[in-house]
Amino acid sequence: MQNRLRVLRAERGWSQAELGGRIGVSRQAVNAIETGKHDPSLPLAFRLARLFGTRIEEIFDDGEGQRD
Amino acid sequence: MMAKASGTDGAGSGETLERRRRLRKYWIIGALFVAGFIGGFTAGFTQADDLFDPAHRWPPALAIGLTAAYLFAVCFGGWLYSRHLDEFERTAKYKAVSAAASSYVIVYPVWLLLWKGGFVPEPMHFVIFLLFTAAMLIASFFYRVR
Repeated sequence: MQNRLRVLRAERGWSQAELGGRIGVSRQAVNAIETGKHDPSLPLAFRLARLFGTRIEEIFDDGEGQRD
Repeated sequence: MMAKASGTDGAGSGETLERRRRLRKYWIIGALFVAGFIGGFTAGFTQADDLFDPAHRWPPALAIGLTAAYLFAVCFGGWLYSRHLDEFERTAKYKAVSAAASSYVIVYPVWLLLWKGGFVPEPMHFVIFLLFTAAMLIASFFYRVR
């Protein structure tokens, strides 16, 4: 699943550890999400969306949006 | 333990939280390592001559003490450690345990059948336990850093 997490994080000048601390996960977890190696759970996706003040689908893209 | 997301914290507060969380895990791992070292040292020091001799019996008090310490460390320590895992680490842990279980399912029957055929020595439970643990640690490392 593709995502804009790295871009959103960079816009705020946050490190991966900074973002991880703010949403209660490790730096490795943030890195795994950014590189697409780990798909976050729905609660974590909501926490990310809330933190960045946006909607989940504006952060994550499963590539299925064009079919709707 | 999950910290609630908040965009109002000062810059760097997230790094502080992440560092504290990481340190708590290191303290738990360190305490378990020290406990394991003390237990292993006690067994090795007092039973050095016949440590792996199947016919040699240990003093009951030593066996009961080590059993209680091991159960406490695995049950309480494992519970405490799991409370500090995030979902990525927990997923890696589940995959690692699954990989270790798969290695056990493969290794033990093959070893048993080859032993029955007279090709290898009788399966040793201690070696199988070490293989299971090693497979779990290697798989855990792989799933975290790949």
